[in-house]
Amino acid sequence: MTNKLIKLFNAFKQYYSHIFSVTSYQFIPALTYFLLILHYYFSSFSKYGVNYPFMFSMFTFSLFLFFLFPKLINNFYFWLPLTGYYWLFLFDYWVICQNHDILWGYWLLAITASCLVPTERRSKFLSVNASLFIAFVFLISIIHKTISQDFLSGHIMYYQFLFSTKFLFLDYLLPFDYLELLETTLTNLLNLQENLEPFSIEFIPQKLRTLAIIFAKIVYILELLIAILFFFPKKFKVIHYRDFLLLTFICAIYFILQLNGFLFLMVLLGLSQTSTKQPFIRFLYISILLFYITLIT
Amino acid sequence: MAFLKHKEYIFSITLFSIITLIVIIHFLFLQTSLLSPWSGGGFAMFSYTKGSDRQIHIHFIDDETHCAILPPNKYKELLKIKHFPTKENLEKMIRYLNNMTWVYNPDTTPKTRPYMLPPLPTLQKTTYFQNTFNEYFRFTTSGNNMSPNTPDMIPEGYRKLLYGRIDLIIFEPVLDFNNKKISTKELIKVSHYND
Repeated sequence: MTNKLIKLFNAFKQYYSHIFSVTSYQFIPALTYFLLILHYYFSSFSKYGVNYPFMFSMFTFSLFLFFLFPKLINNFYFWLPLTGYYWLFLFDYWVICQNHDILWGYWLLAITASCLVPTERRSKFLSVNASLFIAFVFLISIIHKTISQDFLSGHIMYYQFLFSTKFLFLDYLLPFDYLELLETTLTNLLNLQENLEPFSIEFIPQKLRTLAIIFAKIVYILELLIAILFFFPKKFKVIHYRDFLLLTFICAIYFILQLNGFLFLMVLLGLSQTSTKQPFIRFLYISILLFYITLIT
Repeated sequence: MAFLKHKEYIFSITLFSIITLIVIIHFLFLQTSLLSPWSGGGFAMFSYTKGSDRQIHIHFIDDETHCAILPPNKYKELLKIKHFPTKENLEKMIRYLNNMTWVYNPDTTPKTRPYMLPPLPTLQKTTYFQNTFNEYFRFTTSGNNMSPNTPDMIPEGYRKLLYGRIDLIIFEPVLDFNNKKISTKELIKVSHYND
């Protein structure tokens, strides 16, 4: 019995090592493709993309092509029309679409360009670009949060707690009826938008304001650390913590806010910058992704 | 410049130059125009309270009437002017709105609730009409183009809305933390007079 268990464990270990030790360029384009389609399904971009009905048809058609000819996934001419069409959509909807839709556009450009890079250097190309994408996005975000008077003071998070339905989980944490409070503030906001009638928020417990300030500071520190660590080259030992920080950010922020587009993309970028020597980190990224997909479906 | 011998460096430099340029342009627009920080590819979401929950009002004003409607977040053109309002865009939109046929049904309540033709049941709500949440959130973001045609026929039971002036205004909620009060701020307003 024990021998059988050991054999089973060894088989699992071998299988696990094999799966999570493949080079980036062998699975990242296919995963990008898969997550792009998921993003289309689970984000608002399928709703505001109604003027681009062929986008989904095109993705589906190319999915069939991919199943028939898997090697196409590393072909420049497979990605070029997809990326081109996506960018046409982005140009038209630039100020309407969300920031992660634009970030997807950048990543598609990187994937398309990677097809032109020699195979032996393709994984490194994807890895370097993915690290820079993560660092760059968090850096820009941190710059805005630093110069804005609304973030570190907790104003923006306070506003979100008062008027966003994304923080319903707070009802379990707070000692007062958060759902009732949210209903009242949303009714008042609706009345404000329609009839321009100002309203007072004196009835809101102070604890919510304190929580907003704490939440804002935690997010700020996490984002700052991620931005710094992802700019470091791989030879520095300190970068070993960056994946754990990114995973913490994904679990703590994107799970709560249900920002599917950002979550899928950050997992993808996180995976792209890992090496074959980091099977455990890859396992964590994939597990979080699968867990989240299970939740939203 | 030895590193440029590999084309992947050129790809990466080009890509990040484009992103940097877009972020700089976004930042400049943020300082000089009414662009919402939440949109435009500047990654400034959740950094500013301004820019979220903007609302467009369309007012029809005459000696005896004052109807106001809040268009749904459904049309691409309206979403664009909401996220990035400029005088030119608003003037173009107000000319379009003025060219459309506006009707109301005198037999229904409230009588001041006008509709644009076509399509008939698109725009909703008046200043005096309190909606339920369901009715409000039914209109989620989408990107339909607005219809360019005006029909000649006015449905039975409806009357054409007559007005002397049409106003297009964009409001934004303002949170006053010191006085614990939320009010609105008029971001931009454009008027069009009927001859």
